[in-house]
Amino acid sequence: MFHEEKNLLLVEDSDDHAELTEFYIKDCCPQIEVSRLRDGAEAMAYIERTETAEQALPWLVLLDLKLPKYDGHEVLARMKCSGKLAKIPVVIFSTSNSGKDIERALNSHANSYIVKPMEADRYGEVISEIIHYWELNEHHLLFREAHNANV
Amino acid sequence: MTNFLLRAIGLKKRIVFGYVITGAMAFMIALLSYGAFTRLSADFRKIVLFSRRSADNMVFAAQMAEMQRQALIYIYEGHSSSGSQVGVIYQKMMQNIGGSEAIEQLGAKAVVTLAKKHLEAYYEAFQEVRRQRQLQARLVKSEFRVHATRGQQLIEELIREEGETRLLECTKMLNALLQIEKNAYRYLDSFDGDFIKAALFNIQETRSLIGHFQQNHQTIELNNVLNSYESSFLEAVQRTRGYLYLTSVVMAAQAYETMYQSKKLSALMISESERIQQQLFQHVSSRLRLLLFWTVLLLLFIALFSYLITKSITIPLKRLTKTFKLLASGSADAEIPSYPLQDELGDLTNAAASFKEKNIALRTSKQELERSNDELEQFVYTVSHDLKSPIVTSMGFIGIIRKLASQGKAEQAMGMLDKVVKANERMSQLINDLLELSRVGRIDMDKKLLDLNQLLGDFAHNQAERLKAAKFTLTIEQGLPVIYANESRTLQVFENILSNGLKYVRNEKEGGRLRISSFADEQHYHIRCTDNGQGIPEEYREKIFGLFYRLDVNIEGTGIGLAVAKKIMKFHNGDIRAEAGPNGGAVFHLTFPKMMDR
Amino acid sequence: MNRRTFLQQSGKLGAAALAATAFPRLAKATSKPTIKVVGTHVTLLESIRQQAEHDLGINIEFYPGGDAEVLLKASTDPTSFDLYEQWSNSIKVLWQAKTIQPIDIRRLTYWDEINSLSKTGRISDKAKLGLGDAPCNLLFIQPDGSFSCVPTEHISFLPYVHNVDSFGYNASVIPQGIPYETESWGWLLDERWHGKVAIINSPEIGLFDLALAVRAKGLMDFKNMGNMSREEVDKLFDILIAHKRDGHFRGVWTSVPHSVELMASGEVVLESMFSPGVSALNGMGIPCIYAAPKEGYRAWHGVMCLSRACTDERQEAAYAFMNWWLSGWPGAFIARQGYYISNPQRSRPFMSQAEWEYWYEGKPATEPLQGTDGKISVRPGEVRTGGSYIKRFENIAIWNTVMDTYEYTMTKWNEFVLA
Repeated sequence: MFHEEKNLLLVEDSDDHAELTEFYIKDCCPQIEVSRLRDGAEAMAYIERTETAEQALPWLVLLDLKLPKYDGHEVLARMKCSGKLAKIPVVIFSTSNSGKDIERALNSHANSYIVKPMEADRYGEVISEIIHYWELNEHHLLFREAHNANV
Repeated sequence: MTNFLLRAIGLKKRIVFGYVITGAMAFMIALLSYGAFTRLSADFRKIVLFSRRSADNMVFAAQMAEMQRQALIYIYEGHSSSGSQVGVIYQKMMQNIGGSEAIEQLGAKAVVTLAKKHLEAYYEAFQEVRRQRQLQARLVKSEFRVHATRGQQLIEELIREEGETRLLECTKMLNALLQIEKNAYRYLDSFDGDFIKAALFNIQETRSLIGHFQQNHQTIELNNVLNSYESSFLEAVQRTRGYLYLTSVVMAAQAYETMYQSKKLSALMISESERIQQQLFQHVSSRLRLLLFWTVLLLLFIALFSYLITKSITIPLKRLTKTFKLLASGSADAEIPSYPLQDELGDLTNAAASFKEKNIALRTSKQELERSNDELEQFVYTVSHDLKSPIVTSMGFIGIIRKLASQGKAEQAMGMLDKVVKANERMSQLINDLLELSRVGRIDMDKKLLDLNQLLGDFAHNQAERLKAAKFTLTIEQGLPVIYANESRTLQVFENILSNGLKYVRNEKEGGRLRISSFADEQHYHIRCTDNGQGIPEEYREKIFGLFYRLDVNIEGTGIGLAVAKKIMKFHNGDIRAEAGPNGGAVFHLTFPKMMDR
Repeated sequence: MNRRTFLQQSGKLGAAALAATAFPRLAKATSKPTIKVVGTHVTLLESIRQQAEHDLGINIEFYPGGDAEVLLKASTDPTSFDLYEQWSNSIKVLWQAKTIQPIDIRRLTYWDEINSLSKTGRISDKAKLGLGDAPCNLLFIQPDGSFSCVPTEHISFLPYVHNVDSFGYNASVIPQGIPYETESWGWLLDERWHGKVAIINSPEIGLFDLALAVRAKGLMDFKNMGNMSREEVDKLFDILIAHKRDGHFRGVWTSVPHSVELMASGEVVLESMFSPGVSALNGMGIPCIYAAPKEGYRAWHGVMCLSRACTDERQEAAYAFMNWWLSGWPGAFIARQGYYISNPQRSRPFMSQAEWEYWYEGKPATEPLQGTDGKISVRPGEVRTGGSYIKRFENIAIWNTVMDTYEYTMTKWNEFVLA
């Protein structure tokens, strides 16, 4: 079930922000496939599905905090409690630079906390650096071996 | 006791009461002392009087003895000065006898009367003695001499006539005659009865010698002289015996009785004065004991009362101090001691109660402040996030535009500009809504009586176009209440609810519908705005009133409208809640208080 | 020794009216004679005077007075009286003063009835004579003008009232003694009654009470108590004055009421007493006992003397009055106050059987007996102390006497009284 191509899960309520993120991801790493979830409720449903193994695990999760229905913190906490998703790196990508949010997120084992940039041109650079950084990470191998062993 | 004082008697009264009782007891002690000392001085005066009188009576006894001595001198020696001295002493004694005041008090009048009676009897006897003494003196001093001289003359004549022949007998006769006088004087000197016999024998002898002579005129006269002599002598003897008896027996007894009664009086006075002294000492000591008892009692009372008063003051004061300490440290839970009276301590207790109320208010306002701080923080956080979001969007797209532009993809870039505009428009919308929110409670909040029937009737009329365009039905039921509220804000609440309905209610079968109805209970008017949409899941029914919270991000809106509605309702001391409607729709339930805050 | 006050209150005027016709009335048709009687309160009683006037039809004037006063009067002025009534001890003085005249026995109707006590000094053969001047020794006038008991035609006084005296004691304080056995004059000097003893104020009476007491106590003896020598008088008074100074005697009393008051007030428990005083105290409820001393009584005898100046008609009246006194009624009258009369048998008919038995025979009273004042003075069952008339007069220690040392005893008495 595990795909070689890297599947990025984007949890983002704002269509505009999702379009921007997808645009820049395509721009720098076209091989990365982006799946988007529009709110907390969808994200929770996604997590439930991964538990039942119907769902392929993402390579990386980009999680906004300000979400309708369930917010990003709730989603993160649920994710890090999940058997499978817990090891997937979660990058919090939010407009909030509040210390509270940062602390709460990191306490919930967020793997990274990046503030959405407000400068022109910067958005693409940030996305590019996030992707490149996590491309250096070999965590996906862990999932492949586990998958193979399963098979 | 302390409790009784605390419950029943005010502080001032307690203190005044204490002083009054103490004063009264002190006054009583003073009164007792006064009585004791008055009695003391009266008794003392009596003692002084009695002792002076008893001294007088001693003098009296001495005078009596002196009087008798003078009387005896008078009798034996015949000194008339002694006789008159007796009279002088008698007058003095009669004046001084007794001492009326002391006697009255003693009730010893009888004794004085007796003493007086004896003294009078004494003096009466003495008067008789003087008479007898004078009679005797006359007899002795003149008659004896006359008789003796005449007798002598007659015998001498007889000698001359009779001559030498009867000289011997005549001489014998003369001797016997002279012997009469001698023996008479001896008797009067010695009071020896033998000399009376001797004198009478001499008379008898003389008489018998005369009998030897012839009777002639001399012898006859001589016999007569002798007879007179004899009777004078016998009378003198009787008078002597008489006054001797009067003096030695009658006067002596009267003098003794007088002295005895006088001494008795003295003894009475002394014993009475001793009795009074005894009584006085007893009285003084009993009074002193009584005074001591009362003084000790007073001291005990003062001590007890001071203790009680102090207790009655310090106990509530201590309680209050403890309370005030707690209150000063900001406690709102400090217990206010109960104190039923409206005195100074009552005032202090009331002050403590006020203090506590203040503390409670302070705590409430502090909590309020903390909450509003939290709210503010939340607000700032939310605002910053939601305001940043369009900036991020517009900057992001500007970046894309630039990139596309640099790649020469002008058309594509131009298409992206719309995104930037929309983001900026949204930003503008956000700012306006935030401003509106901040105005609630600050600007244009005058309240008045609002007839909701009329207000919502007009509202429905004004919204007719919009509703028609959206094919949305707004039903306003009759019998809505008249409330006391701000017109424009109230209208805003209904506008926001209607706007939400227009945005969220999707009912393909019936078309969107919103019905506004009302009911009332004891304290509130209830307005229900019921739609026929999908309803709001229970978990979001609170969150939707949060700032910027949107159930669906893809539906136009800033997420401020319901927050504004909530704020307006709070301002009216009412509330707004989301509930489940009867047919799966949502209900916005508004409450306005009946007790209108005018 | 003034017996007046108590005895003045005589009553019962009509009691003896039965005697009225016994006398020939002396009064002539026109003028009534008047006699003056000077004397003591013992016999000069108004009821007696009125009875006598009524019986005799004469005017009688009584001049009662103190002993010394009347004696002085009588001894210095015979015209001041017709009859003089006093005690036998005054006879010597009056006789010496020559103011009285002898009384002729032949003119005394009841002379023969007068008993032997007055005539011989002894009431019975076994009776003691008694020291001092027994009345018989003063009675008969001898030719030389002196007195003795040798009978003559003339007497110095009419013997009539007499009695014996002793001392009285309060039986509620002093244990009652046995008459003639334990009762003694010595009690007067008993230490136990210190300060509560009184003596009659009279040198010729009280002196003998004291002399008897001194002798009874064995303190001294007398050669002749009835006529003490100066030395004996000195010695006696030394003893008495010492006692007096020591406070043994309350004092002397000068009248019967005085003596009564002293014992009634409790100041005195033992004192010289006269019979009326004892009666009065008993009447007051005080158990005063009239002692019958084993040494014998001190006796006294009343005398009635005739003034030297009393002559003729008045002398006749005076003799009539003297005879009246012995005629019965007066004797019965004075018996009721405890005195005896020289011819008791003549008075007996004037007394009830009970009176006679009580007063003269010494028997218990069988009925309540009245005194001269009409009040009950003797209750049934009472017995006169000392027994019968005869028994009492058999026990005479001494007679009231004027001794030769009379003047001297008076000066001593003065010392004693004032000591």
